[in-house]
Amino acid sequence: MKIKNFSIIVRRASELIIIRSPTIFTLTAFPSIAGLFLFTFSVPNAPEGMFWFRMHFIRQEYVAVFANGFMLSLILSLGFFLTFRWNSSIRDRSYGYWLSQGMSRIQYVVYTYLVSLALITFGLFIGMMLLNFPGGSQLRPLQFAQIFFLMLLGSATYLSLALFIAELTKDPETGLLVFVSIGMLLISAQIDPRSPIAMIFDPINYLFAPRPLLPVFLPLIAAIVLFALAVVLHVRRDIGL
Amino acid sequence: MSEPPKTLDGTPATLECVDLVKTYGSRRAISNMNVFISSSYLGLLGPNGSGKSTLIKLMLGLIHPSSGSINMGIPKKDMRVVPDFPNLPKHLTVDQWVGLLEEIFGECILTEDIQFEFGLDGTAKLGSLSAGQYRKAALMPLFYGHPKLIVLDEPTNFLDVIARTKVLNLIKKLINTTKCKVIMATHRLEEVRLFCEEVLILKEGTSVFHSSLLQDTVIQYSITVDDPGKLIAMLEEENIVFRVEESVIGLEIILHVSSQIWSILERFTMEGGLIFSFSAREKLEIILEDLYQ
Repeated sequence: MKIKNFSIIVRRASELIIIRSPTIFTLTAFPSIAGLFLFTFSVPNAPEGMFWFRMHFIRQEYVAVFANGFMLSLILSLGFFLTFRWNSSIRDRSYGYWLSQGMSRIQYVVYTYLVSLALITFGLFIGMMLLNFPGGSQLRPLQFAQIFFLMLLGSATYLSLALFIAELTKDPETGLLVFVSIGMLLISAQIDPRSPIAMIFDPINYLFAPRPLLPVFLPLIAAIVLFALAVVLHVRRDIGL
Repeated sequence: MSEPPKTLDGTPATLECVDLVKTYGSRRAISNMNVFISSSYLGLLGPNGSGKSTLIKLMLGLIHPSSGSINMGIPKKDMRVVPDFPNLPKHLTVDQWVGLLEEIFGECILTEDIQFEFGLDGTAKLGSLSAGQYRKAALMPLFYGHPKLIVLDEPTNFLDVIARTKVLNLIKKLINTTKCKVIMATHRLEEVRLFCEEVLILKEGTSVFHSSLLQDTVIQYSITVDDPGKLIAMLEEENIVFRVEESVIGLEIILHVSSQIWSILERFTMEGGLIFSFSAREKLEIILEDLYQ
């Protein structure tokens, strides 16, 4: 779907309500910065390892540290800038105002989701490039692609979950609390890596797995299903004016 | 939403509600409403909490009926709405707001410079405007593009007398230029008379009166004078039925329409009496007064 497929009112309303400057900066930069920060300080031989060093061999746990930092900070960012802001824009009637001017609900949700995902993708790509070259991870192209796509699918799943929980709770504070709690638990808890829950919500387990078909397939399905449920709930929701 | 409802001559109806119910928890905001509005100019009247704003939200599809159905004859993209308390993007300046409206809806349809007419400073942020100026900014979307229906919820709230007249004149001009339909919710009967042909009065979420304004007739006169006792005596002499009500401007003598009143008033003034006010009260006004009490 191209940007021009969305009406101007959808684009402008989304930019006025959700996709504003702090959200753009935070979703793009914060997860990668947090991931790189943790990565830098967890690598031994700090004097030359702060940055611009070569690992010579791939240390999977260091890449996992970056991924962990990325996902945790992404959950925090999505919790505030999506789940919280989504419901507060409905509560303060700013979203209702644009709906009253003829904006399509479905177009708005889809556009906001896609732009958020694009911002996260861009931030993830830049973060991984920094991890790979100045960071010294020296991942082979296929490894780079596998990690990138697994992280991207994990991000899409959490993005869908953030919207779904926002629609389920219908309250900014409750939504933020529920989403961040669930997200933190899913990322931090020691879940059996063979379980579907781990495959969907904890992509870090499979960053270096050979042919991780299910960990790619399941989060993709989960992201689509959660997003579809969020759209259905949103369309049926009463909006204030 | 199903296919737009049609009138007998095949033109789309402005509004159709069939067994419409909207509940919030145990409270019924709209209760079994059945209306079919064929007129292009509809006024919604009723006291606070009567369901006017809920009905507007149902019309716009912002909230969903608990049961029954509501249909509009105009697609939502062709509507412009001025809510009673709109939340505009407060960080934008007036100039940016105008630019945004032009980008979204198209050029201003009137020849007038609306921003100039409203006296809004282009560099001021919407969030820093006074209540009246903010109201004017909220009215601006009406004038951009080519709306086919405008929905106004208390459009002149917070406006002073001069600004109110200017705004009403511009809206009138807009309606004449675009031939758009109008749905107006207000407490001010004179605004409804200005724009509407048909009126729907709501009370406790249900339609209690639905009529054409064109058929409204004067049924009472209300008179205030310097010497009410003298006028009362004259009315009693002529066996005219009347009642006296106390109001903020003094004693009001209210009587049904009668040709005898003119000769009595002539005699009253010839004998040195002064008439402070004389107003004709239509059926609609009386129904509203009863509702508000």
